Amino acid sequence: MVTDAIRKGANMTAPAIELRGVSRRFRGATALDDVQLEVMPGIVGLLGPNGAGKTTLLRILATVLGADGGSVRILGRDPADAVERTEIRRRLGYLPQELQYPRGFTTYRFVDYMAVLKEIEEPAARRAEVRRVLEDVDLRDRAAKSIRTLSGGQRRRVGLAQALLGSPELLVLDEPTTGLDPEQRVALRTVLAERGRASTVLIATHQTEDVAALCEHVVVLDRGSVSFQGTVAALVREAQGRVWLADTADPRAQVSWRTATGRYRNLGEAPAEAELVEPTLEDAYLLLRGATESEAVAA
Amino acid sequence: MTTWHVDPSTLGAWVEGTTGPLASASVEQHLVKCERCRAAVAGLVRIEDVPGAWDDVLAEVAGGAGLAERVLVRLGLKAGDAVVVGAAPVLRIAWAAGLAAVLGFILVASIAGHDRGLALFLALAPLMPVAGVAAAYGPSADPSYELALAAPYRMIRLVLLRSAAVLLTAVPLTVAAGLLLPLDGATAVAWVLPSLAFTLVVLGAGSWVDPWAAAVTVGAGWVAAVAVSARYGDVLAVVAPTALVGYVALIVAGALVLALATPTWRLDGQWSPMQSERERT
Ligand SMILES: Nc1ncnc2c1ncn2[C@@H]1O[C@H](COP(=O)(O)OP(=O)(O)OP(=O)(O)O)[C@@H](O)[C@H]1O
Ligand SMILES: [Mg+2]
Ligand SMILES: [Zn+2]
Repeated sequence: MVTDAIRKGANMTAPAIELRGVSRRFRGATALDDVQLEVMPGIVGLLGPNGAGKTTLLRILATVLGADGGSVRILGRDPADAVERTEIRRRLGYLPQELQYPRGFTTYRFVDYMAVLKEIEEPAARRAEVRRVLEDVDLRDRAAKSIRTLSGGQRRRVGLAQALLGSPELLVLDEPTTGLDPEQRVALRTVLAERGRASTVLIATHQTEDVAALCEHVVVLDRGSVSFQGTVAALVREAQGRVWLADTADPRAQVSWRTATGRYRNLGEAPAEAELVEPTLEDAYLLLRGATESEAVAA
Repeated sequence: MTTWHVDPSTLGAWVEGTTGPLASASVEQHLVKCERCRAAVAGLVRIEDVPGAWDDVLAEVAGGAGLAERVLVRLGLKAGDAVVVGAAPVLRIAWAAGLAAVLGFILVASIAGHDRGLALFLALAPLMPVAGVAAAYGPSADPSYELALAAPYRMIRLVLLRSAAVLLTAVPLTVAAGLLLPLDGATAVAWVLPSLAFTLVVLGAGSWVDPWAAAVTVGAGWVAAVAVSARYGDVLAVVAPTALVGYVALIVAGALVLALATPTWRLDGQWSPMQSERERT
């Protein structure tokens, strides 16, 4: 893996992604607003509520969408320049949030077609690479099946397989674990963790457990802007001393919910007779969300 | 399940590589299904000289490579490019069959009434290749278009290869249909010029708009022109010599735009806001 990175010229000390003042509008609606972002190689989680702009950001990073303003550098290159854009694409693996497959394709054939688009020309090399990625997502026994006949989670894994082709230097994955069963999710973590040692893996997700299990760094988007950027540990630390288990839902809590044991998990102020517990990434994320919401109301 | 087998001399020729493209493709298709013929091939010398050759054929078929794709390879297209052509959405529906059905309909209609039939033929024939090209790539035709965009394979190459494949099936079929009509020979083939012109307009406009939008606009304009000239004069006016000069000019202009726009082809990057907005809907 390490030699892989060296051969492909992956630079593990320079930022893989640099965004300065990036914005993107759709018919007046602002999806991204003055985004500043610096991502170093490794695995980075991208969190944020529905409509926060995660997909828009990832599509810009996957070079399928242009920014309206600001500067974008991906792997040290400018995607607005046609030649540099191709260079980025040679080092990119991309899984869109919503991926549909052309009719009539078998699993093997679709991944093989993608391998051609990724310039893996030589037939024997292509066959070996297609087999490798199908094994990575545990779909080798579905190779000859029509994609139409696969289950939802299996179809999602076909998309993942094509993203892994050519061991890309930058992996952009938009909600990769949606629809995967627990075993497959864990298996995917293993594959991604391996990729993350030699490259940059950016994962947009609503699954805080996946971020906690995989990512060192996390970026939180909120209404088109970055509201947190740092290590997962730092985000969790912000929730330290603010997560309580109590017998009731405290009205002053930013968020509270009934847990399986019948007690209430309260985020925020300490309720009466409450037990202080260790925060999870989910607690920290919800607290951060609560804070930005009330800021927005105040403003 | 197969009752016939490849005869030994054909198998020998296939191993020698001296069968033609069509025969080779059908031999390969049979071999994958038939153990008996595979055993026969294994008995022939040359296959052992080519390690992995078997794997090639098997992988192709597990991949479901269509007959057209194998023929393209046998004709000398690079294997990868053949895969790209074979993945064209329009070629994965029953393109040739659909084309034949439409042409059959026109033939029947024109036998029913000469003038109407002629107008119908002139209105529709040039649009067949245009529709085929528009259905060969782009966000509305190809559900995995965004993936193709994010890949390094040049979009313009993909588009031109697929368009060529579409034209090579549509034009000969439609010309053949035209020759069956009670038309003079010149008219039966004159439509090819406007057809090429419209195809190039769609391709050239591809830098800015979705191919379907361009094809529908061009198609509507053409049908209107044919209808007007049929109603108020001679329908053949649309393929009169002066008009033909116009189509040639359009072909040149379209080719020029395409060539100039190629390096920054917009669909190759979706830098146009319009493009990215409409695909979400
Ligand atoms: N192609 C588009 N056309 C019009 N509006 C768009 C388009 N893409 C995104 N938007 C708008 O931009 C905003 C951000 O959308 P985006 O898909 O990036 O959010 P997201 O964070 O990925 O949300 P989710 O978690 O639901 O996937 C939304 O308000 C959305 O309506
Ligand atoms: Mg999204
Ligand atoms: Zn046989």
